[in-house]
Amino acid sequence: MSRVDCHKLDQSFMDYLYEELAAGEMGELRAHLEACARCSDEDNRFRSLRRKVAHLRIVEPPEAVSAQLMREARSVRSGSGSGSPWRKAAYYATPLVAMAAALAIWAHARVRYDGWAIDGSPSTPEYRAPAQVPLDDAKVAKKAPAAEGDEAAEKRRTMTLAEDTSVAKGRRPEHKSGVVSKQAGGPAHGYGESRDIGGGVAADNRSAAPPPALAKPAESAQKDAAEPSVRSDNTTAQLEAMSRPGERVSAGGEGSDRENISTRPDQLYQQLITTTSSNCARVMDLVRQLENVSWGSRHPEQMKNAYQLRANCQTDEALANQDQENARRMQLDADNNDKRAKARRTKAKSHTQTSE
Amino acid sequence: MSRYQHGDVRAFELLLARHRKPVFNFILRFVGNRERAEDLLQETFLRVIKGGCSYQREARFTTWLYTIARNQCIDLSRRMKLRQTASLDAPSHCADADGPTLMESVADPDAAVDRRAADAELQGRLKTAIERLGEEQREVFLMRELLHLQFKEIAAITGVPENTVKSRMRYALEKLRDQLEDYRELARVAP
Repeated sequence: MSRVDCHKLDQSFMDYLYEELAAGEMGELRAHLEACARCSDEDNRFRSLRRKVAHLRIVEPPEAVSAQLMREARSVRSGSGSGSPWRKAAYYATPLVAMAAALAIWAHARVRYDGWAIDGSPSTPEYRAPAQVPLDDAKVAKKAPAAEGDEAAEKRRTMTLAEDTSVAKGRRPEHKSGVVSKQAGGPAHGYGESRDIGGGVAADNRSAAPPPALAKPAESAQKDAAEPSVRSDNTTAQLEAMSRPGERVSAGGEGSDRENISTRPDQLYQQLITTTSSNCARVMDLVRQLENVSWGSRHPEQMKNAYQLRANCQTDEALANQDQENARRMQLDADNNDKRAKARRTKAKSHTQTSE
Repeated sequence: MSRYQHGDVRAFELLLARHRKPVFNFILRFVGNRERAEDLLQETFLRVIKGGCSYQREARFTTWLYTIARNQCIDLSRRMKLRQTASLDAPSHCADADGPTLMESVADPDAAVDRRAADAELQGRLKTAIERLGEEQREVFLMRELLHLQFKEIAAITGVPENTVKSRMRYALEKLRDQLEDYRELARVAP
């Protein structure tokens, strides 16, 4: 005699019909159905319905929709669409970095130029003369070349990324901006004040090499550049690191400098090509990191090699083919870059000849 | 999905190839209009593309995908509440009132004519019966029969207890059975 009655079957009937019960329970219910005509009839009617429903025609979705979706997926992948938070961070950080760099180059060149042109002395900022050329207040406030005590220099050296960030956002440290604006046109007073140059961007720390004619004597230039370069690298590396998932970013310090610099994309690539081909996990990881920072857009030749290395490691044939395809695409990009460069050179050469 | 999250577009292509047909058919049967179904299919996968980072790996991808599709259908249903919804049995092109119905246009062209006619009749009956289901029963029925989801997965997507899902399913089956019972009797009397 079955332990299952009609009520129990009724309660579990949907699970039984769609076979979502354990084998034991299924067996018990089946035994009841064999013994109970009413329940068996009910079961047959539902199964008959399901056979009809199985004829429900499956309609093919239009290919055009799929094609459109694939285009969208590719554009999001290659462009500025959604992705990992790191990709978003990189997307938003890129214009910020570009703007900061442009301002830094402009501001630094102006400071160097003014310092050199005014007194002709070797232009460590401490030696700069007071502004003797007519300058409007705003311009003076931006330039403000002058000496600064050791304390201020030390403060500048130890300035943290947080300050950098606040400056980059346009928030000037009050004690600095106040001094500069009050003493505009007055005695020179501050190498350190050049932090405020360029509308609040940490211009002095993003120094670009001045034009040869304006360059400082080697020793003083090195002295001038040495400290800022540390922070410049630090800040740049941190901004770069925003686009690299899995990388720790700390607020400063030599340790963090080394850490960030050691995982720059070009160094990742060096690690990749020196990794033994049997270490596939490492290869996969490194290529993925390079992909995440879209390194291939600027270094297609190298990225082609990276994809080929990863293709050799893929166990899935489809993925290997995809990597080979990516490698071919990178090769095409590299070829196109070469052609463009060659065209530019030819054009420049013909232009020179014409002008001569 | 996690591969696509890491930027592998090929992975999305595989996802699309695997899921576009069931999702499209679910939407089509739910909203009963091909054009709207195509729009909703596109919208569903666009959300997958653009919301990829919101996908949690703990959840099954299909559960997440079908939740998006189902929500799209519910939203459209609410918007269309007061509008007239075209039937699957209506001409498939608005401008061509004498054109083939959707059912006719999707029929297998190689099937024998009589079989095709009988099949078309069954298809028509099924469509009508499904359209007559209440929204709650219809979505559960379609998820179970078209998407082959388990009751617990349907419960997760619809946000109702599993027992409620089962009772809705049973109600849907009983209603369909009643409507298609008539079809069976017609078939019996036919020579």
